[in-house]
Amino acid sequence: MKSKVFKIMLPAFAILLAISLSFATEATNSSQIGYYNDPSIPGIQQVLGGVDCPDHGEVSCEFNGFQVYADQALTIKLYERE
Amino acid sequence: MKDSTRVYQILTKTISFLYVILFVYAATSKLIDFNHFTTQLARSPYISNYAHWISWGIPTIEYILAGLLAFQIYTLKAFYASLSLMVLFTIYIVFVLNFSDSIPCSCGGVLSSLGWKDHVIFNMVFIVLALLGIIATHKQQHIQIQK
Repeated sequence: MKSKVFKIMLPAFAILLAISLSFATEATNSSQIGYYNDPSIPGIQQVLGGVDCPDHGEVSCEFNGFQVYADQALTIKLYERE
Repeated sequence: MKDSTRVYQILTKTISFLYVILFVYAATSKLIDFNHFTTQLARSPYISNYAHWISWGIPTIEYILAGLLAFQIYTLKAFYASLSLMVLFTIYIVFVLNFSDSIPCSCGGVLSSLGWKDHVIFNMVFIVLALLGIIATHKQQHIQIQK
């Protein structure tokens, strides 16, 4: 019985726990929208797939070489996570 | 002798348990937000050209390793593979931190809230755990052969 717990129940519990945790923390992983201005394309562009950049830091967050902002007005600069 | 076998067995099972949680959690989180993960990989230095393959490859490898860790006969091989994966990932992080300005995080779930330096420490802990797992499995096998 003890052996069964070790061999089957424990890995199954670990897998279920991990899957549940990943769904439970999905909200914290939601992508933040980032905006940039590529002069060769009319209008403000949105970074596809979102960004993972806070609004403070030292190294600028860039997409294809363009500075990424948190808002469409391009006033809040975003930075790479340190 | 019996006591030490029990200690090694518990140690191996505990480390396997932690690794299974880590790999299944990380792989599932990546697949839940797959587009975000692929985009972040495409922005990552040195590996952007292989983003498509890596975005499928890493979760697949993580699921396979989690599966192997669940079976006792594959535990040792799975520990070696897990150690290699963690070492590779850590080398990449250290390399990016030292030689690149662009450092987007393409990690999954709550791990993405860790900074790169925290991520290195986190990886180092799991590297040590994999080494402990390898040693414990070897000792366990050695004791079983002696019997």
